Amino acid sequence: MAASLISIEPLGDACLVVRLGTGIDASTSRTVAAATASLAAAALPGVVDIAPTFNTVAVVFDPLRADASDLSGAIQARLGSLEGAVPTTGATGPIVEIPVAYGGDDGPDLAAVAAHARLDPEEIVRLHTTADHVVGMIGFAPGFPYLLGLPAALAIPRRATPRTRVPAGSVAIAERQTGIYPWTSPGGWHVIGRTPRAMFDADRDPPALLRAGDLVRFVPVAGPTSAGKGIR
Amino acid sequence: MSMIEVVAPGMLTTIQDLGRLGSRSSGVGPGGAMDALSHRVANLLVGNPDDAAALEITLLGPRLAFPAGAWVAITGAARGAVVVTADGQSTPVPAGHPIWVPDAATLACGPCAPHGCRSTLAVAGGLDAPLILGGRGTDLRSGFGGWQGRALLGGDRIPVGAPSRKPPTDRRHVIVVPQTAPPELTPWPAGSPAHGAASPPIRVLRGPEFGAFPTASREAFFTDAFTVTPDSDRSGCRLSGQTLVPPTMTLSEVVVAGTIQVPPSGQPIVLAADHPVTGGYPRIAVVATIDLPRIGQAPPGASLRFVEIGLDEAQRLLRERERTLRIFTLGLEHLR
Repeated sequence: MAASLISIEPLGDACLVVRLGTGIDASTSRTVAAATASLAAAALPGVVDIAPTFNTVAVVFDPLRADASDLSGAIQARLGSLEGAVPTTGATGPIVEIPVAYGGDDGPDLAAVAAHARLDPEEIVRLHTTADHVVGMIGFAPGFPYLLGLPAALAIPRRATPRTRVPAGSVAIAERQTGIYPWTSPGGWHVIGRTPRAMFDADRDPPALLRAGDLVRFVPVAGPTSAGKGIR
Repeated sequence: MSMIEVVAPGMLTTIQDLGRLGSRSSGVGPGGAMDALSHRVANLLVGNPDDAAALEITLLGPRLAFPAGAWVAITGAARGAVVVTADGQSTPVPAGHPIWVPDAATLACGPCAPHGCRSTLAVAGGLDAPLILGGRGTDLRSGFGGWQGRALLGGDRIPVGAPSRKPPTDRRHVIVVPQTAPPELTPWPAGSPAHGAASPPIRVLRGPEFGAFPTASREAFFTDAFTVTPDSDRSGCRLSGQTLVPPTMTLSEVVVAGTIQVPPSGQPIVLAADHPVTGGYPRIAVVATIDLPRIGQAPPGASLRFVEIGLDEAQRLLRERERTLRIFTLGLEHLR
């Protein structure tokens, strides 16, 4: 295992948090994805939901059907056999291509990001579309992916004032991450483009387009796009 | 198929059940009834499975028309309702009992104040909302589930499933069945005011970042009272009180319903049913499952205090209440 089991701690009386790392990095993400898959396959009694974060796996259970300490022991036993089962390179999931119209009305912050990075907007797009992005976790809103792997040259602090309205499909960056807004919502990241792909569809199984561990490549398309079609 | 028609929707009335599980990795939180205990009891009173879809009423109740008549039960904060039959006669009916609403009658649900914030109205047969991602409840943040992913509006016609209990022989008159749930099966501690200073504190477990808070904040959290602010909703109960000093947190982490986060403002937020699945603020505590219904019932202005319990105690309390529920359910077998 690239990273190891650090702790299993309760979060309230109906969730155990399995910690596998402390920071954000691709190796920890691989371990988390492998541990999530392993725990899901184990179908431990009383477990009702399992979800990865950047460096932990949340195991939600029904406290009437499982005892926290028994469950903790079962998780530990299960993950002990994970050693060596984690790939040391690459992403664990499939490669997903996301078409993006960069700049203009689709990416109102592209110029500001370029100015901050002291690069041409074209170079920002080139760097963003040639990098491998790995889904660290889904959170914030249904289907919202936190993507790791933003090139260092593009790193930028969050906007000082969050936008009150970021359109659905907006591709935005902050720190060393890219996010994609599945819904029109407020948001504090820098919007550099927009995708027409629906990040979330409640009628789809699974409903989120991306899962933790997936590898994402952004593909530039000419704007303006049909962004928004099929996206609520 | 039978249906009920919304004459007036009330302040915020949504279809809810006991939540959707299994889609957390897609970023979908549990949702479901804010007061799951009252939801279960209301369903049991009309002979439904406890997780059937029912109406969650917020502060002001709706007025509903029943073209075909139905057994209903109201639980939670409202103390009753008024049934108006086709001949124009008004009959006040109590909460907490199975009620026969006659053919062509309307029912106006009473207000939630001053006892709490939300009521459940269950209809025998359950509301026939589509099963999406394992749940029939309304996800207001993302706009799916329940009735068209939104709160009810006047004119909506909500289909009702087939009831397990037969209608009475005489369908024209209001019937109040004497059966009711014991006081242990309400969110409120028996014999004390619902939300005042004399109400017992909300039981919580330590959160993962509890130890990283300065001593003064840890002490203030357990000794001071916090007031529920008006911007609270189904995603969280926002509190105001002594300013706590949160430690810095660099990464978003998992949160569950009942997680008490402290943002930079120092004013805690108790996450509720519609919470996002991750959060970036330090988690000082987590409300024990036994007391989550009390959070769902805390109206703006309510005063809350917190007390720490251990994991074993939290589990014991929950099992005890489940036993009471089971005994109550057995006593209702004749209603099914």
